[in-house]
Amino acid sequence: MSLPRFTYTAATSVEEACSLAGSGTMFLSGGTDLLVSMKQRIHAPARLVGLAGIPELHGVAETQAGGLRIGAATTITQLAEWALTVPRWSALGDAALKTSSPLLRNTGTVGGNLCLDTRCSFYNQPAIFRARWGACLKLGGDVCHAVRRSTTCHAVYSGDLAGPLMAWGATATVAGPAGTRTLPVEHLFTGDGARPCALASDEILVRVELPQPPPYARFSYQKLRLRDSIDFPLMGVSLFAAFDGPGAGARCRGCRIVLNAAGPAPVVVHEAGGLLDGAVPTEELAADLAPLLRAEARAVGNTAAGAGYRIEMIEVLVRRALRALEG
Amino acid sequence: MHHARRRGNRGHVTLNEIILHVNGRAYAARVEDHWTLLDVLRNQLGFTGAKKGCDQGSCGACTVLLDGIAVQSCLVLAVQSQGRSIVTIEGLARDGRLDPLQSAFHEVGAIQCGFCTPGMILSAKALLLRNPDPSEDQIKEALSGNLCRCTGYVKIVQAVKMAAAERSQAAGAAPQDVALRADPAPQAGSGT
Ligand SMILES: Cc1cc2nc3c(=O)[nH]c(=O)nc-3n(C[C@H](O)[C@H](O)[C@H](O)COP(=O)(O)OP(=O)(O)OC[C@H]3O[C@@H](n4cnc5c(N)ncnc54)[C@H](O)[C@@H]3O)c2cc1C
Ligand code: FES
Ligand code: FES
Repeated sequence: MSLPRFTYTAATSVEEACSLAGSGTMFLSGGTDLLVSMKQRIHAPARLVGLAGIPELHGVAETQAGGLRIGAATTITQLAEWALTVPRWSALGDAALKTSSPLLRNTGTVGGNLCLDTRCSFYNQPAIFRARWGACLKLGGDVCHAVRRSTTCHAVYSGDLAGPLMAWGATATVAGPAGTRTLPVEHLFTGDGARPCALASDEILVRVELPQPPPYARFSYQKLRLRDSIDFPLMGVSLFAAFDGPGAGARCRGCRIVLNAAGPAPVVVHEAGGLLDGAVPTEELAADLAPLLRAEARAVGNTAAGAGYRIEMIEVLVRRALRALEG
Repeated sequence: MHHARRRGNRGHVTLNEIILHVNGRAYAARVEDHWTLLDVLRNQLGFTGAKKGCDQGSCGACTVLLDGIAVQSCLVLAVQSQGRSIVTIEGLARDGRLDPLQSAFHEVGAIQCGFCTPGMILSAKALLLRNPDPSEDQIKEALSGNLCRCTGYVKIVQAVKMAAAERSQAAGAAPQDVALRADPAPQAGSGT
Protein backbone atom coordinates (compact mmCIF):
# COMPACT_ATOMS: atom_id res chain seq x y z
CA MET A 1 0.00 0.00 0.00
CA SER A 2 1.72 3.15 -1.10
CA LEU A 3 1.38 6.53 0.54
CA PRO A 4 -0.31 9.29 -1.42
CA ARG A 5 2.21 11.78 -2.76
CA PHE A 6 3.12 14.72 -0.48
CA THR A 7 6.06 16.95 0.24
CA TYR A 8 7.83 16.52 3.54
CA THR A 9 9.38 19.33 5.54
CA ALA A 10 11.26 18.64 8.75
CA ALA A 11 10.60 21.55 11.09
CA THR A 12 13.36 22.51 13.50
CA SER A 13 11.39 24.85 15.77
CA VAL A 14 7.83 25.18 17.00
CA GLU A 15 7.53 28.59 15.34
CA GLU A 16 8.65 27.19 12.01
CA ALA A 17 6.20 24.29 12.24
CA CYS A 18 3.29 26.61 13.07
CA SER A 19 4.21 28.94 10.22
CA LEU A 20 4.19 26.06 7.74
CA ALA A 21 0.69 24.97 8.81
CA GLY A 22 -2.23 25.69 6.58
CA SER A 23 -4.84 23.96 4.53
CA GLY A 24 -3.58 20.70 3.08
CA THR A 25 -0.81 20.46 5.68
CA MET A 26 -0.65 18.02 8.59
CA PHE A 27 1.87 17.49 11.37
CA LEU A 28 3.76 14.20 11.45
CA SER A 29 5.11 13.01 14.76
CA GLY A 30 5.86 9.27 15.05
CA GLY A 31 3.58 8.57 12.08
CA THR A 32 2.23 5.32 13.51
CA ASP A 33 -1.34 6.50 13.12
CA LEU A 34 -1.24 9.18 10.44
CA LEU A 35 0.81 7.18 7.92
CA VAL A 36 -1.53 4.20 8.29
CA SER A 37 -4.60 6.32 7.63
CA MET A 38 -2.84 7.98 4.68
CA LYS A 39 -2.13 4.56 3.21
CA GLN A 40 -5.85 3.92 3.55
CA ARG A 41 -6.50 7.28 1.84
CA ILE A 42 -8.42 8.57 4.83
CA HIS A 43 -6.10 11.57 4.78
CA ALA A 44 -4.16 12.85 1.78
CA PRO A 45 -2.40 16.06 2.87
CA ALA A 46 -0.30 17.81 0.24
CA ARG A 47 2.38 18.50 2.85
CA LEU A 48 3.59 16.84 6.01
CA VAL A 49 5.54 18.88 8.53
CA GLY A 50 7.75 16.63 10.64
CA LEU A 51 7.91 17.46 14.35
CA ALA A 52 10.55 14.95 15.45
CA GLY A 53 13.44 17.34 14.78
CA ILE A 54 12.18 20.04 17.16
CA PRO A 55 14.35 19.83 20.30
CA GLU A 56 11.76 21.63 22.44
CA LEU A 57 9.30 18.78 21.97
CA HIS A 58 11.59 16.14 23.42
CA GLY A 59 12.34 14.88 26.88
CA VAL A 60 10.83 13.73 30.15
CA ALA A 61 11.91 15.44 33.35
CA GLU A 62 10.67 16.35 36.79
CA THR A 63 9.84 20.03 37.28
CA GLN A 64 11.11 22.13 40.13
CA ALA A 65 7.64 21.96 41.64
CA GLY A 66 7.90 18.16 41.78
CA GLY A 67 5.65 17.55 38.79
CA LEU A 68 6.50 15.84 35.53
CA ARG A 69 7.03 17.43 32.13
CA ILE A 70 6.73 15.29 29.02
CA GLY A 71 7.61 16.70 25.60
CA ALA A 72 5.04 15.91 22.92
CA ALA A 73 7.56 14.18 20.64
CA THR A 74 8.78 11.90 23.43
CA THR A 75 8.19 8.32 22.35
CA ILE A 76 6.01 6.16 24.54
CA THR A 77 8.98 3.84 25.10
CA GLN A 78 11.06 6.79 26.34
CA LEU A 79 8.28 7.83 28.70
CA ALA A 80 7.77 4.30 30.03
CA GLU A 81 11.47 3.60 30.49
CA TRP A 82 12.00 6.85 32.34
CA ALA A 83 8.90 6.54 34.54
CA LEU A 84 9.59 2.94 35.52
CA THR A 85 12.88 3.96 37.12
CA VAL A 86 11.26 6.57 39.40
CA PRO A 87 8.98 4.99 42.04
CA ARG A 88 6.48 7.84 42.27
CA TRP A 89 5.91 7.85 38.51
CA SER A 90 6.21 4.13 37.88
CA ALA A 91 2.44 3.57 37.75
CA LEU A 92 2.38 5.98 34.80
CA GLY A 93 5.11 3.89 33.17
CA ASP A 94 3.01 0.75 33.64
CA ALA A 95 0.06 2.48 31.99
CA ALA A 96 2.20 3.62 29.06
CA LEU A 97 3.30 0.01 28.49
CA LYS A 98 -0.33 -0.91 27.83
CA THR A 99 -0.25 1.18 24.65
CA SER A 100 0.03 -0.70 21.33
CA SER A 101 3.16 -2.90 20.92
CA PRO A 102 6.85 -2.42 21.80
CA LEU A 103 7.66 -1.64 18.16
CA LEU A 104 4.90 0.95 17.87
CA ARG A 105 5.87 2.52 21.20
CA ASN A 106 9.43 2.95 19.91
CA THR A 107 8.10 5.33 17.23
CA GLY A 108 4.70 6.49 18.48
CA THR A 109 4.78 9.63 20.60
CA VAL A 110 2.87 11.07 23.53
CA GLY A 111 1.68 14.03 21.43
CA GLY A 112 0.49 11.80 18.60
CA ASN A 113 -1.34 9.68 21.11
CA LEU A 114 -3.25 12.66 22.55
CA CYS A 115 -4.00 14.15 19.12
CA LEU A 116 -5.00 10.73 17.78
CA ASP A 117 -7.81 10.62 15.28
CA THR A 118 -10.94 8.80 16.48
CA ARG A 119 -11.62 5.30 15.14
CA CYS A 120 -14.64 3.48 13.75
CA SER A 121 -14.93 0.15 11.98
CA PHE A 122 -16.64 1.91 9.08
CA TYR A 123 -13.90 4.56 8.83
CA ASN A 124 -10.54 2.83 9.46
CA GLN A 125 -10.79 0.72 6.33
CA PRO A 126 -9.13 0.75 2.94
CA ALA A 127 -10.79 3.09 0.45
CA ILE A 128 -12.33 0.20 -1.46
CA PHE A 129 -14.48 -0.80 1.54
CA ARG A 130 -15.39 2.75 2.41
CA ALA A 131 -16.53 3.34 -1.14
CA ARG A 132 -19.05 0.54 -0.74
CA TRP A 133 -20.67 2.23 2.25
CA GLY A 134 -20.46 5.80 1.02
CA ALA A 135 -19.07 8.81 2.87
CA CYS A 136 -20.03 9.04 6.52
CA LEU A 137 -20.21 12.16 8.70
CA LYS A 138 -16.49 11.95 9.49
CA LEU A 139 -15.67 11.86 5.77
CA GLY A 140 -17.89 14.79 4.90
CA GLY A 141 -21.04 12.79 4.13
CA ASP A 142 -24.38 12.98 5.90
CA VAL A 143 -24.86 9.52 7.40
CA CYS A 144 -23.43 7.61 10.33
CA HIS A 145 -23.07 3.95 9.40
CA ALA A 146 -22.64 2.94 13.03
CA VAL A 147 -25.83 4.62 14.32
CA ARG A 148 -28.17 4.99 11.37
CA ARG A 149 -30.20 8.06 12.25
CA SER A 150 -27.50 9.83 14.19
CA THR A 151 -26.59 13.37 13.22
CA THR A 152 -23.34 13.19 15.16
CA CYS A 153 -20.28 11.04 14.59
CA HIS A 154 -19.68 8.13 16.98
CA ALA A 155 -16.05 7.37 16.12
CA VAL A 156 -14.17 6.41 19.28
CA TYR A 157 -11.18 8.15 20.80
CA SER A 158 -8.91 5.13 21.21
CA GLY A 159 -5.73 6.57 22.64
CA ASP A 160 -4.43 5.02 25.83
CA LEU A 161 -2.57 7.89 27.45
CA ALA A 162 -5.32 10.50 27.76
CA GLY A 163 -7.22 8.59 30.47
CA PRO A 164 -4.21 8.12 32.74
CA LEU A 165 -3.01 11.69 32.15
CA MET A 166 -6.44 13.17 32.91
CA ALA A 167 -6.68 11.05 36.06
CA TRP A 168 -3.33 12.47 37.23
CA GLY A 169 -4.65 15.98 36.55
CA ALA A 170 -2.27 16.76 33.67
CA THR A 171 -2.27 19.97 31.65
CA ALA A 172 -1.31 20.45 28.02
CA THR A 173 0.73 23.33 26.63
CA VAL A 174 -0.15 24.30 23.10
CA ALA A 175 1.68 26.69 20.78
CA GLY A 176 0.20 28.56 17.85
CA PRO A 177 0.74 31.72 15.85
CA ALA A 178 -0.77 33.71 18.73
CA GLY A 179 1.58 32.28 21.35
CA THR A 180 1.20 29.49 23.86
CA ARG A 181 -1.63 28.48 26.16
CA THR A 182 -2.03 25.84 28.83
CA LEU A 183 -5.22 23.88 29.32
CA PRO A 184 -6.35 20.74 31.15
CA VAL A 185 -5.74 17.64 29.01
CA GLU A 186 -9.52 17.00 28.91
CA HIS A 187 -9.96 20.25 26.99
CA LEU A 188 -7.95 18.80 24.08
CA PHE A 189 -11.05 16.83 23.15
CA THR A 190 -14.13 18.27 21.48
CA GLY A 191 -16.39 15.27 22.07
CA ASP A 192 -17.25 15.28 18.36
CA GLY A 193 -16.08 12.05 16.75
CA ALA A 194 -15.75 13.78 13.37
CA ARG A 195 -13.36 16.46 14.65
CA PRO A 196 -12.05 15.05 17.91
CA CYS A 197 -9.03 17.27 18.56
CA ALA A 198 -9.65 20.78 19.90
CA LEU A 199 -6.40 22.20 18.50
CA ALA A 200 -6.57 24.56 15.55
CA SER A 201 -4.81 23.27 12.42
CA ASP A 202 -1.86 25.61 13.05
CA GLU A 203 -1.50 24.73 16.72
CA ILE A 204 1.02 22.26 18.10
CA LEU A 205 0.88 20.33 21.31
CA VAL A 206 4.24 21.14 22.90
CA ARG A 207 4.16 19.21 26.17
CA VAL A 208 2.03 17.83 28.93
CA GLU A 209 2.70 18.47 32.59
CA LEU A 210 1.58 16.45 35.57
CA PRO A 211 1.32 18.14 38.97
CA GLN A 212 3.29 16.79 41.89
CA PRO A 213 1.43 13.72 43.14
CA PRO A 214 -0.10 14.17 46.62
CA PRO A 215 1.32 12.00 49.41
CA TYR A 216 0.31 8.35 49.30
CA ALA A 217 -1.08 8.63 45.79
CA ARG A 218 -2.03 5.41 44.01
CA PHE A 219 -2.98 4.87 40.42
CA SER A 220 -4.25 2.11 38.17
CA TYR A 221 -5.18 1.94 34.49
CA GLN A 222 -7.28 -1.01 33.37
CA LYS A 223 -7.65 -1.62 29.65
CA LEU A 224 -9.95 -3.93 27.71
CA ARG A 225 -8.64 -5.17 24.37
CA LEU A 226 -8.64 -8.28 22.23
CA ARG A 227 -4.91 -9.09 22.17
CA ASP A 228 -2.92 -7.81 25.12
CA SER A 229 0.16 -7.38 22.95
CA ILE A 230 -0.99 -4.83 20.39
CA ASP A 231 -4.65 -3.82 20.19
CA PHE A 232 -6.36 -0.47 20.71
CA PRO A 233 -8.47 -0.12 23.85
CA LEU A 234 -12.11 -1.17 23.65
CA MET A 235 -12.77 0.37 27.06
CA GLY A 236 -10.48 1.82 29.69
CA VAL A 237 -10.77 2.90 33.32
CA SER A 238 -8.17 5.05 35.08
CA LEU A 239 -8.32 5.52 38.82
CA PHE A 240 -6.10 8.01 40.63
CA ALA A 241 -6.44 8.61 44.35
CA ALA A 242 -4.60 10.28 47.16
CA PHE A 243 -4.74 8.44 50.50
CA ASP A 244 -4.50 9.54 54.10
CA GLY A 245 -1.77 7.04 54.81
CA PRO A 246 0.09 4.01 53.56
CA GLY A 247 -1.09 0.42 53.26
CA ALA A 248 -4.45 -1.31 53.47
CA GLY A 249 -7.13 0.49 55.46
CA ALA A 250 -6.08 3.96 54.31
CA ARG A 251 -8.90 6.20 53.10
CA CYS A 252 -9.15 8.02 49.77
CA ARG A 253 -8.69 11.77 49.99
CA GLY A 254 -9.47 13.07 46.54
CA CYS A 255 -9.96 10.74 43.63
CA ARG A 256 -10.32 11.05 39.87
CA ILE A 257 -11.82 8.36 37.66
CA VAL A 258 -11.60 8.57 33.87
CA LEU A 259 -13.35 6.49 31.26
CA ASN A 260 -11.66 6.18 27.86
CA ALA A 261 -12.41 4.37 24.61
CA ALA A 262 -16.07 4.59 25.58
CA GLY A 263 -17.02 7.25 23.01
CA PRO A 264 -15.64 10.18 21.01
CA ALA A 265 -13.71 11.63 23.97
CA PRO A 266 -12.27 10.44 27.26
CA VAL A 267 -14.33 11.69 30.24
CA VAL A 268 -13.61 12.45 33.87
CA VAL A 269 -16.48 10.94 35.83
CA HIS A 270 -16.56 13.43 38.71
CA GLU A 271 -19.46 11.83 40.56
CA ALA A 272 -17.66 8.49 40.72
CA GLY A 273 -14.54 10.16 42.06
CA GLY A 274 -16.67 11.92 44.69
CA LEU A 275 -18.28 8.68 45.75
CA LEU A 276 -14.89 7.16 46.52
CA ASP A 277 -13.79 10.15 48.57
CA GLY A 278 -13.36 9.20 52.22
CA ALA A 279 -13.79 5.48 51.49
CA VAL A 280 -11.38 2.60 51.91
CA PRO A 281 -11.27 1.12 48.39
CA THR A 282 -12.59 -2.41 48.19
CA GLU A 283 -13.71 -4.44 45.22
CA GLU A 284 -17.30 -4.32 46.46
CA LEU A 285 -17.46 -0.59 45.69
CA ALA A 286 -17.33 -1.45 41.98
CA ALA A 287 -21.07 -2.16 42.03
CA ASP A 288 -21.73 1.42 43.19
CA LEU A 289 -19.22 3.10 40.91
CA ALA A 290 -19.96 1.23 37.69
CA PRO A 291 -23.43 2.69 37.06
CA LEU A 292 -21.98 6.21 37.24
CA LEU A 293 -19.38 5.29 34.61
CA ARG A 294 -21.86 3.42 32.46
CA ALA A 295 -24.01 6.56 32.36
CA GLU A 296 -21.12 8.39 30.66
CA ALA A 297 -20.28 5.63 28.14
CA ARG A 298 -21.32 6.23 24.55
CA ALA A 299 -20.36 2.81 23.21
CA VAL A 300 -22.01 1.78 19.93
CA GLY A 301 -21.35 -1.06 17.49
CA ASN A 302 -18.31 0.35 15.71
CA THR A 303 -15.32 -1.39 17.30
CA ALA A 304 -13.81 -4.87 17.39
CA ALA A 305 -16.14 -5.91 20.24
CA GLY A 306 -19.86 -5.39 20.73
CA ALA A 307 -21.12 -2.33 22.60
CA GLY A 308 -23.02 -4.44 25.15
CA TYR A 309 -19.94 -6.41 26.08
CA ARG A 310 -17.81 -3.29 26.39
CA ILE A 311 -20.38 -1.66 28.69
CA GLU A 312 -20.65 -4.83 30.81
CA MET A 313 -16.89 -4.85 31.18
CA ILE A 314 -16.84 -1.41 32.83
CA GLU A 315 -17.71 -2.94 36.21
CA VAL A 316 -15.00 -5.57 35.77
CA LEU A 317 -12.41 -2.92 34.95
CA VAL A 318 -13.47 -0.79 37.93
CA ARG A 319 -13.20 -3.84 40.19
CA ARG A 320 -9.68 -4.57 38.92
CA ALA A 321 -8.68 -0.94 39.41
CA LEU A 322 -10.02 -0.94 42.98
CA ARG A 323 -8.18 -4.19 43.70
CA ALA A 324 -4.96 -2.62 42.41
CA LEU A 325 -5.51 0.34 44.77
CA GLU A 326 -6.29 -1.72 47.85
CA GLY A 327 -2.67 -1.43 48.97
CA MET B 1 22.86 15.45 11.09
CA HIS B 2 21.55 16.90 7.89
CA HIS B 3 22.48 16.10 4.36
CA ALA B 4 21.98 18.56 1.60
CA ARG B 5 18.88 17.61 -0.31
CA ARG B 6 19.28 18.22 -3.97
CA ARG B 7 16.09 18.19 -5.91
CA GLY B 8 16.01 17.10 -9.53
CA ASN B 9 12.99 16.93 -11.79
CA ARG B 10 11.88 13.83 -13.60
CA GLY B 11 8.77 15.10 -15.29
CA HIS B 12 6.61 16.43 -12.45
CA VAL B 13 8.20 14.11 -9.92
CA THR B 14 10.56 15.58 -7.35
CA LEU B 15 13.36 13.25 -6.35
CA ASN B 16 15.63 13.86 -3.40
CA GLU B 17 19.12 12.52 -3.38
CA ILE B 18 19.69 11.17 0.06
CA ILE B 19 22.36 9.09 1.78
CA LEU B 20 21.24 6.15 3.86
CA HIS B 21 23.63 4.39 6.22
CA VAL B 22 22.71 0.74 6.05
CA ASN B 23 24.65 -1.99 7.84
CA GLY B 24 27.62 0.29 8.28
CA ARG B 25 27.87 1.50 4.67
CA ALA B 26 26.63 4.68 3.05
CA TYR B 27 24.27 4.30 0.09
CA ALA B 28 22.99 6.99 -2.22
CA ALA B 29 19.31 6.78 -3.07
CA ARG B 30 16.95 8.90 -5.13
CA VAL B 31 13.63 9.00 -3.37
CA GLU B 32 10.32 10.78 -3.30
CA ASP B 33 9.18 12.26 0.00
CA HIS B 34 6.31 9.80 0.34
CA TRP B 35 8.39 6.65 -0.05
CA THR B 36 8.75 4.53 3.03
CA LEU B 37 12.09 3.31 4.31
CA LEU B 38 10.85 -0.24 3.72
CA ASP B 39 10.18 0.37 0.03
CA VAL B 40 13.52 2.08 -0.50
CA LEU B 41 15.43 -0.65 1.33
CA ARG B 42 13.73 -3.35 -0.71
CA ASN B 43 13.23 -1.81 -4.12
CA GLN B 44 16.22 0.51 -4.50
CA LEU B 45 18.93 -0.87 -2.28
CA GLY B 46 18.08 -4.56 -2.55
CA PHE B 47 17.77 -5.27 1.18
CA THR B 48 14.86 -7.63 0.68
CA GLY B 49 15.43 -9.20 4.09
CA ALA B 50 13.09 -6.52 5.41
CA LYS B 51 9.70 -8.04 4.59
CA LYS B 52 6.49 -6.34 3.62
CA GLY B 53 3.69 -8.08 5.51
CA CYS B 54 0.78 -5.79 6.33
CA ASP B 55 2.45 -2.50 5.36
CA GLN B 56 0.42 -0.80 8.11
CA GLY B 57 2.21 -1.30 11.38
CA SER B 58 0.48 -4.44 12.54
CA CYS B 59 2.83 -7.37 11.91
CA GLY B 60 6.48 -6.39 12.48
CA ALA B 61 7.80 -8.20 9.38
CA CYS B 62 9.44 -4.95 8.24
CA THR B 63 11.35 -4.40 11.51
CA VAL B 64 14.80 -2.81 11.18
CA LEU B 65 17.08 -1.16 13.72
CA LEU B 66 17.20 2.61 13.55
CA ASP B 67 20.00 3.92 15.78
CA GLY B 68 19.80 0.62 17.63
CA ILE B 69 16.06 0.76 18.23
CA ALA B 70 13.64 -1.69 16.58
CA VAL B 71 11.11 0.13 14.39
CA GLN B 72 8.64 -0.78 11.68
CA SER B 73 10.15 0.48 8.44
CA CYS B 74 6.76 0.53 6.71
CA LEU B 75 5.86 3.49 8.98
CA VAL B 76 9.07 5.49 8.59
CA LEU B 77 9.76 7.77 5.63
CA ALA B 78 13.04 7.24 3.80
CA VAL B 79 13.73 10.98 4.00
CA GLN B 80 13.40 10.78 7.80
CA SER B 81 16.10 8.11 7.95
CA GLN B 82 18.99 10.19 6.67
CA GLY B 83 21.97 10.42 8.96
CA ARG B 84 20.75 7.56 11.11
CA SER B 85 22.17 4.09 11.44
CA ILE B 86 19.95 1.48 9.77
CA VAL B 87 20.54 -2.22 10.38
CA THR B 88 18.71 -4.88 8.39
CA ILE B 89 18.96 -8.64 8.76
CA GLU B 90 21.65 -8.61 6.04
CA GLY B 91 23.88 -6.64 8.42
CA LEU B 92 24.00 -9.12 11.28
CA ALA B 93 26.41 -11.73 9.92
CA ARG B 94 30.07 -10.72 10.20
CA ASP B 95 32.87 -12.13 8.05
CA GLY B 96 30.66 -15.00 6.94
CA ARG B 97 29.71 -15.88 10.54
CA LEU B 98 26.09 -15.73 11.54
CA ASP B 99 25.02 -13.65 14.52
CA PRO B 100 24.38 -15.88 17.58
CA LEU B 101 20.67 -15.12 17.19
CA GLN B 102 20.67 -16.32 13.60
CA SER B 103 22.53 -19.52 14.54
CA ALA B 104 20.17 -20.14 17.44
CA PHE B 105 17.04 -19.69 15.29
CA HIS B 106 18.54 -22.14 12.82
CA GLU B 107 19.62 -24.67 15.42
CA VAL B 108 16.42 -24.63 17.47
CA GLY B 109 14.18 -24.72 14.40
CA ALA B 110 12.53 -21.40 15.19
CA ILE B 111 11.92 -20.81 11.48
CA GLN B 112 9.14 -22.30 9.40
CA CYS B 113 8.11 -20.21 6.39
CA GLY B 114 10.65 -17.62 7.51
CA PHE B 115 8.66 -14.53 6.64
CA CYS B 116 8.61 -13.21 10.20
CA THR B 117 12.19 -14.27 10.95
CA PRO B 118 14.18 -11.15 9.97
CA GLY B 119 11.88 -8.91 12.00
CA MET B 120 11.80 -11.34 14.88
CA ILE B 121 15.60 -11.54 14.99
CA LEU B 122 16.02 -7.77 14.80
CA SER B 123 13.54 -7.19 17.63
CA ALA B 124 15.47 -9.80 19.62
CA LYS B 125 18.74 -8.10 18.68
CA ALA B 126 17.46 -4.75 19.98
CA LEU B 127 16.44 -6.48 23.21
CA LEU B 128 19.82 -8.17 23.73
CA LEU B 129 21.68 -4.94 23.02
CA ARG B 130 19.91 -3.31 25.95
CA ASN B 131 19.40 -6.33 28.16
CA PRO B 132 21.88 -9.15 27.52
CA ASP B 133 20.24 -11.51 29.99
CA PRO B 134 16.46 -11.17 29.57
CA SER B 135 13.88 -13.27 31.38
CA GLU B 136 11.39 -15.34 29.39
CA ASP B 137 8.70 -12.73 30.07
CA GLN B 138 10.97 -9.95 28.85
CA ILE B 139 11.67 -11.91 25.66
CA LYS B 140 7.95 -12.45 25.04
CA GLU B 141 7.22 -8.79 25.71
CA ALA B 142 9.99 -7.60 23.37
CA LEU B 143 8.73 -9.81 20.54
CA SER B 144 5.05 -9.08 21.09
CA GLY B 145 4.83 -6.71 18.11
CA ASN B 146 6.22 -9.35 15.74
CA LEU B 147 3.58 -11.77 14.55
CA CYS B 148 4.36 -15.32 13.44
CA ARG B 149 1.68 -17.40 11.80
CA CYS B 150 3.66 -20.66 11.72
CA THR B 151 5.71 -21.52 14.76
CA GLY B 152 3.55 -20.83 17.79
CA TYR B 153 6.45 -18.77 19.21
CA VAL B 154 7.76 -21.46 21.61
CA LYS B 155 10.90 -22.18 19.63
CA ILE B 156 11.44 -18.51 18.85
CA VAL B 157 11.58 -17.74 22.57
CA GLN B 158 13.88 -20.74 23.07
CA ALA B 159 16.20 -19.49 20.36
CA VAL B 160 16.49 -16.03 21.91
CA LYS B 161 17.28 -17.63 25.27
CA MET B 162 19.94 -19.79 23.65
CA ALA B 163 21.54 -16.82 21.91
CA ALA B 164 21.52 -14.82 25.15
CA ALA B 165 23.18 -17.67 27.02
CA GLU B 166 25.79 -18.04 24.30
CA ARG B 167 26.49 -14.34 24.33
CA SER B 168 26.97 -14.23 28.07
CA GLN B 169 29.37 -17.18 27.82
CA ALA B 170 31.35 -15.38 25.16
CA ALA B 171 31.07 -12.05 26.97
CA GLY B 172 34.14 -9.96 26.57
CA ALA B 173 35.40 -12.06 23.67
CA ALA B 174 33.76 -10.08 20.88
CA PRO B 175 33.23 -6.34 20.78
CA GLN B 176 29.79 -5.01 19.86
CA ASP B 177 29.35 -6.13 16.28
CA VAL B 178 26.48 -4.12 14.88
CA ALA B 179 26.98 -0.69 13.37
CA LEU B 180 24.75 1.25 15.72
CA ARG B 181 26.03 4.68 14.87
CA ALA B 182 25.82 6.27 11.50
CA ASP B 183 29.10 6.43 9.63
CA PRO B 184 30.60 9.84 9.17
CA ALA B 185 29.07 11.62 6.21
CA PRO B 186 30.55 10.47 2.94
CA GLN B 187 32.91 12.86 1.20
CA ALA B 188 31.16 15.51 -0.83
CA GLY B 189 30.51 14.29 -4.33
CA SER B 190 31.27 10.66 -3.57
CA GLY B 191 28.91 7.79 -3.81
CA THR B 192 26.09 9.56 -5.64
C1 LIG C 1 -1.44 -1.87 14.86
C2 LIG C 1 -1.59 -0.63 15.69
C3 LIG C 1 -1.97 -0.74 17.02
C4 LIG C 1 -2.11 0.41 17.81
N1 LIG C 1 -2.50 0.25 19.10
C5 LIG C 1 -2.67 1.35 19.88
C6 LIG C 1 -3.07 1.22 21.25
O1 LIG C 1 -3.22 0.11 21.77
N2 LIG C 1 -3.25 2.34 21.96
C7 LIG C 1 -3.07 3.59 21.44
O2 LIG C 1 -3.25 4.57 22.15
N3 LIG C 1 -2.67 3.75 20.16
C8 LIG C 1 -2.46 2.66 19.37
N4 LIG C 1 -2.05 2.82 18.07
C9 LIG C 1 -1.96 4.18 17.50
C10 LIG C 1 -0.63 4.89 17.60
O3 LIG C 1 0.45 4.00 17.38
C11 LIG C 1 -0.39 5.60 18.92
O4 LIG C 1 -1.56 6.24 19.35
C12 LIG C 1 0.74 6.61 18.85
O5 LIG C 1 1.03 7.09 20.15
C13 LIG C 1 0.45 7.77 17.94
O6 LIG C 1 1.55 8.66 18.01
P1 LIG C 1 2.38 9.08 16.69
O7 LIG C 1 3.47 9.94 17.16
O8 LIG C 1 2.75 7.91 15.90
O9 LIG C 1 1.25 9.92 15.95
P2 LIG C 1 1.17 10.42 14.44
O10 LIG C 1 0.65 9.33 13.59
O11 LIG C 1 2.42 11.08 14.03
O12 LIG C 1 0.06 11.55 14.61
C14 LIG C 1 -1.27 11.29 14.98
C15 LIG C 1 -2.09 12.57 14.84
O13 LIG C 1 -1.69 13.53 15.80
C16 LIG C 1 -1.25 14.73 15.17
N5 LIG C 1 -0.12 15.19 15.98
C17 LIG C 1 0.95 14.44 16.36
N6 LIG C 1 1.76 15.15 17.18
C18 LIG C 1 1.19 16.38 17.31
C19 LIG C 1 1.55 17.56 18.03
N7 LIG C 1 2.65 17.61 18.80
N8 LIG C 1 0.74 18.64 17.94
C20 LIG C 1 -0.37 18.59 17.15
N9 LIG C 1 -0.77 17.51 16.47
C21 LIG C 1 0.00 16.41 16.55
C22 LIG C 1 -0.90 14.36 13.76
O14 LIG C 1 -1.04 15.44 12.89
C23 LIG C 1 -1.92 13.26 13.49
O15 LIG C 1 -3.15 13.82 13.14
C24 LIG C 1 -1.86 1.68 17.26
C25 LIG C 1 -1.45 1.79 15.92
C26 LIG C 1 -1.31 0.66 15.14
C27 LIG C 1 -0.84 0.79 13.72
S1 FES D 1 4.90 -4.62 7.15
FE1 FES D 1 5.41 -3.13 8.62
S2 FES D 1 4.35 -3.83 10.36
FE2 FES D 1 3.64 -5.22 8.84
S1 FES E 1 7.86 -18.72 10.45
FE1 FES E 1 6.19 -18.33 9.15
S2 FES E 1 5.44 -16.44 9.95
FE2 FES E 1 6.90 -17.00 11.39
